[in-house]
Amino acid sequence: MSRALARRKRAEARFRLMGRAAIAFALLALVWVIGSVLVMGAGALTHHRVEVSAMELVDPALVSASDLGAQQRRSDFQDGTQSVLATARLDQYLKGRDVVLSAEQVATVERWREQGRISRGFNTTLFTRPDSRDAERAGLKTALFGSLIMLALAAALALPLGIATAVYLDSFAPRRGWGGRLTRALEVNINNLAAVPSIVFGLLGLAVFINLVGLARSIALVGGLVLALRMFPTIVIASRAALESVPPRITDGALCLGASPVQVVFGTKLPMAGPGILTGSILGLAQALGETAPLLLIGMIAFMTEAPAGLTDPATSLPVQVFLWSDGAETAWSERTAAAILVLLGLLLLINGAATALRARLDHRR
Amino acid sequence: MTNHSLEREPKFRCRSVSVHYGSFQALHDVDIDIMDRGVTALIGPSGCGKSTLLRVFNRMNDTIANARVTGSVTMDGQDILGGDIDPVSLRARVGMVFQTPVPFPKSIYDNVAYGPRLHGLARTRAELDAVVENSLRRAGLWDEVSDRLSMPGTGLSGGQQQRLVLARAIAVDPEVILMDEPASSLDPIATARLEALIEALKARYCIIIVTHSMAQAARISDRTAFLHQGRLIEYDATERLFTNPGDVRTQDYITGRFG
Repeated sequence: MSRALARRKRAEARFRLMGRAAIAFALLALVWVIGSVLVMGAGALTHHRVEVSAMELVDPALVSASDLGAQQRRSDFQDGTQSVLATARLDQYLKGRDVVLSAEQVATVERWREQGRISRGFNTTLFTRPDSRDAERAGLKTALFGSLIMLALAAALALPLGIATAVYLDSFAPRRGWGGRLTRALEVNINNLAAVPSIVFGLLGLAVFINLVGLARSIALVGGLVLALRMFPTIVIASRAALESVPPRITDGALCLGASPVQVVFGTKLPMAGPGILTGSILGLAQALGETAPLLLIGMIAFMTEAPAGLTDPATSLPVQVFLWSDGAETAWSERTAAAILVLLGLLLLINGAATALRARLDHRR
Repeated sequence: MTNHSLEREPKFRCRSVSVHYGSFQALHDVDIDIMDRGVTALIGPSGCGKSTLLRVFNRMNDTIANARVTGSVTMDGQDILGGDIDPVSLRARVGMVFQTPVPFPKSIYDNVAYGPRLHGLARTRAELDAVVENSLRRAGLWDEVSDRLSMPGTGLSGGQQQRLVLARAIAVDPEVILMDEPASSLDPIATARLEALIEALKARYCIIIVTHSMAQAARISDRTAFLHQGRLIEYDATERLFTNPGDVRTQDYITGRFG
């Protein structure tokens, strides 16, 4: 008896240890991933600028030529100098990265440094400028706008459709006979849809929206539609689970008071399932925000120097931007890739935080 | 033998009512008349079909996917099984209280006001207040909750919750109240309160109660029906059924030999 008890206790201790080990491993992996991205991306948050006088002839390898050009066209510059962006090359050199400059360039930089003409500041370009061929001038504006427009469109389409589908399947779809068979077939298919690789949705978007309907490639509208398709099954499944978790006793109680099925759904079931539906929907939204493959298939891989202003403008999204930048050979591009990932993660965190807060408020109100 | 007839015009008249759940037949050709303004108890061992019969009266079997009800059931002479009656309006006339009280996750006030709001029984806030107070009074709960109507209904004790759902049913002003083992999750004191309440309510309503407790059936009901394996074995005035059962199975059940 006591031996059996000791054995059971040992088994429990073992199990608990394994659980802790698993959590520790997961935490370690998370810290490692986020940590390396943070270390890489932090560099891109600051950038160097150089004070250049208007009449000075400057090596375009050191300061951004297009910035310089704009400066020199200007007739009324103040006290003869202007602050211009350092090139990614110079910036990386100043940050102590492994960049080889010619002896002449090094001498110039040392002179600037002595004269106090080099300053380091927050890299606003990264957030306010569209993409560029030059790393120092590349920003996330295109991708941020694109992601937000597409996400808004996808949510506006998939949320009402998905929740309505879930409500219908849960409360109104026929359960008997041929209608019931059709309902079950539908349910199975929607469940499978959620497991379909996302690239297939891109293929579908390409075949239907671009080839069949004739919409332009790589525009925000098509991206939003494809993301809506991607979100739809997730939202349906999450909403159904939330609706099913409403105790039947509650709905029976409402029915027994003479509530019609529609009143039961909208007055009792939906409010109670609300937090669950919300969480599921946010999950779908977050998933769509990180989606890359289907967007690549509908041509969102183009280099875009202008932020989309509307649904029919060509767009790109944050993850696609990450993908594009990760191709860059210079360390400045790796830095910016990591920074873009950080922005993406920050957005996800923001969305999830909003969902948690909203859920807590809804739960509290009940 | 089995006595189907009543002195007065019955509230419900069931003729050869059968209920199937898929291929399983839960009720076999039940003929029963239920009187108005009185308590009718349905007793019998587990799985005998008493809850199924209870759910015939407010068409709650409709909510079970593979349930099929056949036969004829009339309420005040009007057919309630056919397609020409709306189950929703029927359920407004036939209230129901379940085994475990499950208040809505709302305030006490909103729980009681749920039905009246649904059916537009009160036009003004004052009228609604009056309906809520009246229902809570009739359910014997008013004095305990009058100062915390805005508190969640789920925060009450089990006995209070059962009276809350009873008040919720009363608020719709039904003609019939169905009770499915309403005391099975209550302690003896709460049970006694509930029984006193049923005693008081029967002057106004037709009450049909399913119970596992023979003592409870004997205490509170005017007529008792004994069901066994989906058949109505015996139906008689409670006193007669308990003192002088006509069927040996009834005798065995009420003396505790099975069930």
